[in-house]
Amino acid sequence: MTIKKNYEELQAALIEGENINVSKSSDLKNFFILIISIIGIIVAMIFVFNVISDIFISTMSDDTQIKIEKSISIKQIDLKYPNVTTQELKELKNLNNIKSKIIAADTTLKNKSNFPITIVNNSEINACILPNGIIFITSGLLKQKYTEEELAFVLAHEIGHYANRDHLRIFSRQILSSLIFITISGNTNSFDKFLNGVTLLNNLVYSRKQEAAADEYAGRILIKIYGTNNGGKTFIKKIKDNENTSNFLHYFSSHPSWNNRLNILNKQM
Amino acid sequence: MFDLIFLIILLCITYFTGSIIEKNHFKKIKQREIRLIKKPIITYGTKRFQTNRPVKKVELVTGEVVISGDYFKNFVASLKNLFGGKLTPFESILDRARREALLKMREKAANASIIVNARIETVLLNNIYIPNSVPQCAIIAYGTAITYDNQKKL
Repeated sequence: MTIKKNYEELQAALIEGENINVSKSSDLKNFFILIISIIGIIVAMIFVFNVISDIFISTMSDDTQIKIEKSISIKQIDLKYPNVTTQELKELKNLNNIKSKIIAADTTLKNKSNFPITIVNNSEINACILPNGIIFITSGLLKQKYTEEELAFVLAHEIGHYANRDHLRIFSRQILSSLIFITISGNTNSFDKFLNGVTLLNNLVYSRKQEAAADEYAGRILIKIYGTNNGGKTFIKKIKDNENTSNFLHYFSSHPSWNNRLNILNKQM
Repeated sequence: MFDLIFLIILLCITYFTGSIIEKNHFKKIKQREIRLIKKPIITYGTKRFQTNRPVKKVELVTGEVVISGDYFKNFVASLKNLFGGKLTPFESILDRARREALLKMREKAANASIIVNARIETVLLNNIYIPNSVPQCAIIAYGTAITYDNQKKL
């Protein structure tokens, strides 16, 4: 009887005691160690690939650049905008004049794109450039009646992206991101989301650097043409007054904060 | 970006809910195991059971549990897949499931005297080659429950 009782006590002690089948290491600790090491690997891979692609793109010949640009963008013939008003045509002429001044100010742009400008019917204040140099300007931006210097800043900023070969850099980054995705990612959806988020944050940081470089370029061109970059400063101030975004949000934005952009121009003059 | 924020929120929630559920489950398992210490006895190795005592009833008893890791555990395991090694997040799930299956089997045979030839089987329910499939498996504990007839004498 006592043997049986002792056995039962022993069993109860085993049940209540330490479970040797379950590791003591905490899942949360494992999680953080894994996350930190994976982020470290991704960042290191992105850094190495970026250095390689930056060297490759900056040493690329103009002919190769033009060939790639032609193959990845739409032609201007494909664009049809029937609803261009006479007022817009007048503004287009004005923009083309400013554009000629910018091209004349930067000798590196010779024998490349002639940067055709197209007006897009959109109320937003925005502009963009395609890899082959086609510039889009929204009708919303033209309605704001910006001065010549301010419009020159907008155009020079977009041409700055072209001059810095930003589109090719973005292109190579996207190829590299997908490469990292394919090599690291397993089949799990959540892991894909995590990788996507890390590379997106990294791309945003890079995009902000590119925008800052384009602002810097635009400021330099403005100083060359008009002797001052005040046009850029007033443009940024006007946009800043219209928008009320928090400073924190710029970490999730593709552009630097308006204050940072102003600082870039202030440093020039 | 929202995907990443959503993922972090989901991981936080599932970590806390998963931990609470696991803690409570282990607590209940321990209580049930202590309650069942006295009977019935289980034998795992007996292929041919022989007894001189009169037998009242012989029946198959089973205990089945289908398990899956929570979102957090699955996520940590998918990260761990990259480096290999022990998949520690699943250890506790497997332990819970195995003990739960055995308990269910023993509870079904609560009136039996002995469970002989008890076995534990694991069945993978999902196809691991299908992308995004949730890891889940079934644990089945089964054995032959024998009830002695205490009224009859030899």
